[in-house]
Amino acid sequence: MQLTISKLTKKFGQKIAVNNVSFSAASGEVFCLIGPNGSGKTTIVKTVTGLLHPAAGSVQIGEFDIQAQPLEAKQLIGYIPDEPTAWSSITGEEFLRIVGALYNVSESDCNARIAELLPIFNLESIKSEYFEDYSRGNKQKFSILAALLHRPKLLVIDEPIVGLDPVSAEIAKKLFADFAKQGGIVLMVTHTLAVAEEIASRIGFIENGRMLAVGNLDELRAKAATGARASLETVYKALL
Amino acid sequence: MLRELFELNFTRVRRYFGTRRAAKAITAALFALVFVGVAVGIYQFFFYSLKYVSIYIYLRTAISLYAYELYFLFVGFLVWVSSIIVILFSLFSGKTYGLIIVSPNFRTAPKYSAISALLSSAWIYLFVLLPAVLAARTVFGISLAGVLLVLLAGVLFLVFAIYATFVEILLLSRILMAIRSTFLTLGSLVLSQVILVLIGFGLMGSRISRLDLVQALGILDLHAQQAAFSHLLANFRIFPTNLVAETMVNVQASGLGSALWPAFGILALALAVVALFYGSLRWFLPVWQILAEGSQARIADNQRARRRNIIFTRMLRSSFGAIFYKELMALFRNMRSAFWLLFLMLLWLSHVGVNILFQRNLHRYNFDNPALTSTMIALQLTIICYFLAAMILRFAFPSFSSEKNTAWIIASAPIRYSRLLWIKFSFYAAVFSLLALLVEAVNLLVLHLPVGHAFMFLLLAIVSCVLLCALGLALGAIFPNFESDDPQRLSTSIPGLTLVFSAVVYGALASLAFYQFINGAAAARLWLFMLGALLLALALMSLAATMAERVEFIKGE
Repeated sequence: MQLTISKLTKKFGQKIAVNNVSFSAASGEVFCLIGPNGSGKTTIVKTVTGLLHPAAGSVQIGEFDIQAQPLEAKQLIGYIPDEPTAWSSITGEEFLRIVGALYNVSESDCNARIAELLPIFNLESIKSEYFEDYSRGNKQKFSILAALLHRPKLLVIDEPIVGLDPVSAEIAKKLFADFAKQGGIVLMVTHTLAVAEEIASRIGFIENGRMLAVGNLDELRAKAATGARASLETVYKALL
Repeated sequence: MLRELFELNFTRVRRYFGTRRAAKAITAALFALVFVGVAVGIYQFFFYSLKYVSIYIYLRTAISLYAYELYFLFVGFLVWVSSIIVILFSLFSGKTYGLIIVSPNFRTAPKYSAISALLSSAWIYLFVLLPAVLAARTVFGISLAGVLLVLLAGVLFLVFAIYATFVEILLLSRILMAIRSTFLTLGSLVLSQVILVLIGFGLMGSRISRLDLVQALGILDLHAQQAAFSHLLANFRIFPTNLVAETMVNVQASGLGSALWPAFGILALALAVVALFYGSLRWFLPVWQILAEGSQARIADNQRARRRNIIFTRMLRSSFGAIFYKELMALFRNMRSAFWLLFLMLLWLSHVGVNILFQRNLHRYNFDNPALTSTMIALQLTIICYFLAAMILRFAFPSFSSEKNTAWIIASAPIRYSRLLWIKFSFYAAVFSLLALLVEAVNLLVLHLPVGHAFMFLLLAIVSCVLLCALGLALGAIFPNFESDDPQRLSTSIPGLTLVFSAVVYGALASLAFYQFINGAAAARLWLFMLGALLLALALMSLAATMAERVEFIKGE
């Protein structure tokens, strides 16, 4: 299984948000996209998940093209957005059940998965409260569980730990790393460089819609000429 | 602080018109045209009715008073309910006023909310009040000072209605808190307001229906020079709108002097509630703090709720059921939506009430006329289409656009937008058809139609519902608007207007088809009409489903 993004371009009117970006990630990899605000990271993520139509280029998830075979491709994706908003007047548990049904998870499997997932962040006691009443962090936790519910092959994450308390952030990082270790692919957008440094197999630097550099931390250090022990933050500042 | 808030709102409006100017200017112009059209219609209605009544010296004052009482009562009811909605779902929403509440000027929030409600109601109120007053001026030669006095009385009534609603809600909240702190929740407050609205509606209905005009006006008293209307005034005295109607009828019949007393009455009421409003502001912050907390509802905490949940969650076995379920919850569990639905249903039911009155008076005084009856029955379909359009405009039409913030769930899931749209169509067509069936079944009991006609009537009502749902959803999906989350704002658009206009035109055609059917035309023509409507619904949904596939849920779409 591989995620392949080829010559991806996305325009909003005259503005080019993503310009001819290509990269790929294979099973077992955590690929982090980092870059300044407005550089096009979220647009790439939204195009990969099928929320946006590309102006040019393609997104291939396994053997499926997200534009040509969206149903098959989306069945493989779990998406965690940067702003997890759900419909009003539904509870956290109902939210998970609805997402399960949308991803064709059978009722019994859905029940089993919910029972298995809720304890990860200790959410059992609040599962019957309305989603809109949750704190930012709890909404984020439910959206993480929803993304994992149907056992996806590709996890697409936009800002994974914003709003999470330190303990939950640790749990989330471990969850994503384990997901990759078990053969999944993680595509992650983050401003928290420490997270990227800790769990990313490879990192893509993006600025003004263009991919400036791709590689593992050592390759990026070499490219930035920052020395073998430079932190990701130092590399980031040198490259952008 | 108040000035800054109004300036901010003004800037927002200016910015709103800063993008896609042409489309928004046309929308605003069309809405202005609609309002002018409504005003002209009201003027014409009052002008010809009053002119007709004015010929009969014996009846003219009493009958015009009756018309004013009913008219102001109906408009007053709308103002009251809209004030409740503004207070409950805007003022007490943590999102809208959060920043003001954390400042030392937190009491500005209710003041601003009250003035906003007043301003937004005032111009619409003047649009419906002014034509009626001008028609009376033309027919009865009311002086300009008289016109101004009636308008002033109308505005004072608005002040009374809006500030009294604020005071009532704050007072009730305070009482609930005093009895037990946990008694005050948004749910308990909404429930209490629903009960009050139902009581108010029932009171209006009973006061209108129990009035036998022939008896009340003393028409059978052959010695009287002019119909008595003291019974009429007494009958409506419990409603504050009575003072506005009395001001108007006094200006019309006896001149300015006698009209001043009821006008002073409404002034005194308005001043009293404004004073009470300022007095009750000290309760505002603790009430707001509790209501803005959110429900924190643990809906499955008791056995009954758990059983109910199991029944509903059985729907969550497929993507169809899942979307159906979330639409169901959004419509009935969301208190704002439920309140709106109840309000629109009450208005819809009021037309059944009018039919009861009409039928009762026709029978009572042997005025039965087959041509009049069949026209009235056929016109019900136009009324049904109008009320359906109002509900579809509020709920189904903005439904696709309002998926903007939650698009990440559906758009990233293996489900096509076209399927989403079809599921929404199934949901709204089913719910509104059911509501239409319930209301119109009651209506049919009043109208005494033969079984065959009643069956076709209900069938045509359901077909109309299917077509209008398809039209509403199709227009909403073909012309999505991601600039706002507010369904009311989303509905205020050219496609929204198109929906209402098309519904009324279609309703008139359906009425004509049914009129011909009950007057002996071949049933096949009506069947063909219904088949045509269903095919049109199918075509609209297919077009919308195709176009929905290209939608990106981004602002500026």
